[in-house]
Amino acid sequence: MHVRGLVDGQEFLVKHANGLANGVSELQHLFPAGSNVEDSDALPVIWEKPEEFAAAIDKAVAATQKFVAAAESGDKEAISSAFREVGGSCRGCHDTFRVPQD
Amino acid sequence: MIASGARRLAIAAGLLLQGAAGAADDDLIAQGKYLIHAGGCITCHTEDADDAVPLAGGYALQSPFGTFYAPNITPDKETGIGNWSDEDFLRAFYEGTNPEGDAYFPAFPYTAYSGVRQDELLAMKAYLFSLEPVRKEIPEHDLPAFMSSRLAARAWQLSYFEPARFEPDTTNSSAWNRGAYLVRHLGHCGECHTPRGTLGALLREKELTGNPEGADGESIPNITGDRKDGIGKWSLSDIEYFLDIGMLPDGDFTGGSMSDVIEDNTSHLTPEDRMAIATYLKSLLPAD
Repeated sequence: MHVRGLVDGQEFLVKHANGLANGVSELQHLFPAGSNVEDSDALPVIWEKPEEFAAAIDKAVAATQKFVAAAESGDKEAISSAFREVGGSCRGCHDTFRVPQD
Repeated sequence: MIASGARRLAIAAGLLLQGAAGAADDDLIAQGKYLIHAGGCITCHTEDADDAVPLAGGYALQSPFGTFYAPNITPDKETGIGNWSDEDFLRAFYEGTNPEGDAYFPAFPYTAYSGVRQDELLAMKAYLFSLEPVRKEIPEHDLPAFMSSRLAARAWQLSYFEPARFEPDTTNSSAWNRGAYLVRHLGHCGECHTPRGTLGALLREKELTGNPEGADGESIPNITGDRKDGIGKWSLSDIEYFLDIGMLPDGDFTGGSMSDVIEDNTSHLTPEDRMAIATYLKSLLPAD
């Protein structure tokens, strides 16, 4: 709602942007070798191509850090375009490494 | 003196006219580019490889009926559509046939595209012909024996193909009508979101209720107003924003084939067109 400009409140945005960036920075630790146990939406390609997976996470980390900076600046255009980049990095990863959701 | 002055004037006028024609061409090409995005052409006509040239074909569409390889639609004269006339181009969309008169399989969604306006199709052709020709041979479709001939596609057409025409519904708003045109025809959303019968024809009475057996083994969701299975709880703005950047109302981001649709198609549309799509979808009766 904040990024879409539907609701005002920059302090919340900064807080959530930081939360997002912190969460994403943990992603690299969540899929260690041997953790591909059954009943998961994580695709085996995560462990088959660990370098590609790490690169996709790096992209998300960079995008969320940029989003934090944009949120702090308060510039609506910058916030919107930085969040678009965050979304692109989320989709980029889900596209390749997650079971399609219906 | 007078004569040469007149000639100079004529030349100047000629140049001006040429300039005007050039600008008109540019406008047509820009319009065509927008429509190529709105039509979702890039998603299927581009190979799934990092260095693939857009629209040069080669994408393997794995369907329950076999694997279809999307053709090269750059203006290369031998491997693309460089020799096609305007009539050839229109016939592909309105009649589902190639320039030799052979029927296309409905993997090329002419069932939906046949409702696209002629001037818009010609703008799309103008854009495609403004691109760099790419020489790229595309493999033959890999289909079961009973479908291996174009006659099978012709037989399918005789049973199931009725060219669509878009008739505006004057009882609805212009946004609704624009959305209906984009969803049903140019954007052909139903090709993935509507379930199919045994021979691949869309089940119209189940329009946009999802397809558990979609192409590439994906289960495709219901996008009617059903509150549980569909998008009944999404606001217009939720839908518009989803089509822009791929975020679902719960904050998750879509992956799979819809991610490509957003990348190649809906994120390039104007916010007004995305809102029009949302307006049309929200008007669909809930169905599961």
